Amino acid sequence: MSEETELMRISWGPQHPMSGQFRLILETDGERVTKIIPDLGFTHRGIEKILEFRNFVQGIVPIERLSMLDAANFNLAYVRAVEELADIEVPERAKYIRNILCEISRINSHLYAFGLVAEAAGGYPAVFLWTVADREPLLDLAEMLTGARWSYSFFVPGGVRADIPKGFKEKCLETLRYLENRIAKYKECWLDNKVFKARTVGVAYLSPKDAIRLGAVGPNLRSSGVPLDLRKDEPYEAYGEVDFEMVVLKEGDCYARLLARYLEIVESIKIIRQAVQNMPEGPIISLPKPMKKKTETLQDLLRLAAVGRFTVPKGEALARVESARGEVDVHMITDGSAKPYRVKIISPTFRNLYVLSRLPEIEHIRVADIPVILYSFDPWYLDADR
Amino acid sequence: MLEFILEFVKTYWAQLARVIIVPGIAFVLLFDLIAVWFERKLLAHSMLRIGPLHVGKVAGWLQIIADFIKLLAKEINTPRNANRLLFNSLPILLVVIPTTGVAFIPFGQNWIIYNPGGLSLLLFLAVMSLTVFMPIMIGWASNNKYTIIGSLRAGYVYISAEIPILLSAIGVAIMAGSFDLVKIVEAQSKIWFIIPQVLGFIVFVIALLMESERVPFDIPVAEQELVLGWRTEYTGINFGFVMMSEYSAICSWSLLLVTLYLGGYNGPLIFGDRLISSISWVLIKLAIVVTALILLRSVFPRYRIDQALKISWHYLIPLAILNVIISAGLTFFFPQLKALIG
Amino acid sequence: MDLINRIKDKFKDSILEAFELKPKRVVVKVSPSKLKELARFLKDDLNFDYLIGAGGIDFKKENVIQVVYYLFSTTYKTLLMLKVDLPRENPVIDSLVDVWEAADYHERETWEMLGVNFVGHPNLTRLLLPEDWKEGFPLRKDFDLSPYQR
Repeated sequence: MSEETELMRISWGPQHPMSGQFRLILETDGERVTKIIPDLGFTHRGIEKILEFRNFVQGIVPIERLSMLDAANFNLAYVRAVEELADIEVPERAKYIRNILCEISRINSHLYAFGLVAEAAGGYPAVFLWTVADREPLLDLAEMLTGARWSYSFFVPGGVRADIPKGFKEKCLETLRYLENRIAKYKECWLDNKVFKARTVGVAYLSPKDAIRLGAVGPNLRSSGVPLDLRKDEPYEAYGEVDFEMVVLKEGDCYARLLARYLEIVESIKIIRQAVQNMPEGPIISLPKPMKKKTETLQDLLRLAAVGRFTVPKGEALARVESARGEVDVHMITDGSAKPYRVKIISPTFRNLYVLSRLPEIEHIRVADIPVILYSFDPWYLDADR
Repeated sequence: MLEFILEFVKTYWAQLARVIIVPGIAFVLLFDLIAVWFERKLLAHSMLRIGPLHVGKVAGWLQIIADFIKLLAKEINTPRNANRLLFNSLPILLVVIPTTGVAFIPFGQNWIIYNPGGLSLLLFLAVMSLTVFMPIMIGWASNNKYTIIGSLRAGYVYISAEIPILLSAIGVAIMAGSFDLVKIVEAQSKIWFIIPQVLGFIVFVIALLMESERVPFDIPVAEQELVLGWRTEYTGINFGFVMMSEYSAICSWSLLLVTLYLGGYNGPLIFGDRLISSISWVLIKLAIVVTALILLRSVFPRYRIDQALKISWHYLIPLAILNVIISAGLTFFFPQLKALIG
Repeated sequence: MDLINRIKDKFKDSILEAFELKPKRVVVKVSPSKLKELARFLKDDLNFDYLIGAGGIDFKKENVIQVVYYLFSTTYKTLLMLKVDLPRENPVIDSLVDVWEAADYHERETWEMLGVNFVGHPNLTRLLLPEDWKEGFPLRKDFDLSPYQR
């Protein structure tokens, strides 16, 4: 019999109440965690390969399946890559509509992330389902605008599918007011909760240097004190014309990561409110320059795509979009046909999970911290697996 | 034979009623069912949900019974390398022990199943502390990594909870001058011990949360980390037993809380009859305590194991000792206080 | 542009291609032998400290597998696509994990999807595909999709 203590290897997932379609292999020494190994690929569907067989309008649907909660932003990344290649000038009004839907999508995703961290820290607290319930008016809003509650497929190359419906502005402002009241309650009962603070403050600290070195992205990066937000750095769509703040915190722990998401909800509400109120009039869709017509409608685009005449010139484009979980990059290479030659998607969760596997200060992490840390990074396994 | 039974019932009706109805088996079982239903319903409302609704027409009150029948019908799985005997027998013991605790709780001046000559408080604590071994044995017997971590956590948490409970109960015993729960209740006929023993009360409540694995100290079962902690491998009615034991423990500990600090069966004669109003008062106070325990769950996250142990050993135990000293000092130096309170 | 000129000055003929795709998007193609040296130069001297990702493209007609590193400079706020062309039969390249640690997962993915062998990678194992995956590299253009089509 050997006297040495053995490390216990726990397979945390995929059949686990909190793990999702994902597995963490934990090496533990009692309550101490000595190694975290994320095991990805349970939901790998080969979206990048699928996109090679879809034309530029059909491709909108598979790419949304990367992140159903945050469909609009992923959709936008793809559409922007196509627009850059096909040299399409998007009408001003379409840009504002895109902004609104992107931010609705972002709030949706952040609310869910907030609820998941709450649940990871405690035994099914009320806040978790409050966030789910409060997503409902937002989903209604998205339904009113796009006809769908989850996967909108609303952005098409050149613009958006439909104009703002009647009464949308009033309903939107009312929903935002409701949401502002609700998230004030979240702060009161969860972010200021002493027990929650005890669980999250100082846990899994990520210094700015480490965050850059390990490639953290999105709110995780910004909560470590690195001011990188594509909405500010290279303002796409109408983000340059609305007034909002980049949320940068310097604590870099689990609490800061959650707080950053909370504060981003506040900023997103600001953005939607401005976009709804300052929206210019005009067309909502335009076609590529060679196919220009006097009046352009969605039907023109769909007809072109259906007969394979919606082609883009040979070349490459890299579209960068700040999604809820961080930057999504779509690198599209085309060969002049109606379908992309290759679409490389760099998704945020893939990068964040690498940070998780190389967390500095792992000697302070206990088994009980694992779900809190994991969900403070806001993973969405589908976009990591692609 | 029938005559003998009738004769038996006629002679011992009071004892039988105590064992079978209140505060005996029927009461504890009913408490388990109602508490589970009430918890689901109350938590659902705090979460903006509705909770059980359809089974049984009125607020889904039959849902729990339906669940129980479902658990009875389910297959009992024993993991391959588990210790079969321990694994399958311990859940029954797990239900029995917390239920036994009810036997020492007075529901009326003479309405107590067993009063062991002035030592009922000690005996209650002794019986209840047997539960400490159960998670450790179960965790080992199930042969699963989650259950082992959960059972070790349970060992730590239970022991850190037992000591402050005992110490704060001693404070009450000093002030009442007895370990007899009936005498303790009688001593509260003027002022409940929650007022002179407020320090001990706080310690007791926090330790009670630890002992009965309630949020924010549900560390041994932490679903988010350990699936269900030391209960992970149980299926079917074994799982049902484990759940029953959890609520039976809540029942027993809450009853002790009511008895020690909230005046037990003391209260105005609301139903005329002394016995019935005594029992009613205990039940009303129990309901209030249980509601408070349940509501904590929707508000608080869970403490980490090291934080919970720190709370216990750094704060609760010193406070409880301080409380014992204060109680002893008050009782010794101000004997007239005793006359004032009871 | 200043950035491209600095790279060209330093590496001269090893830079096969360098241009600005659009503002804040720079493309640099380097010969495989100089990749690591250029990577170090980019990181240390030009402050491209933030690796966004890495991937590959299979150009079947040109018989080339192109590996692309997507780099970002937190000081210039510029994205640089560092490309390197490898022969399709035997794509071997130095791993850049010791320059940018974050390249780990991306290189593993590129390895299993396109069959690019990264020399010096600490843990070149399956990431997204099943552990018992045997046949082929799914993102190559000649990957046989017929077993997966209905």
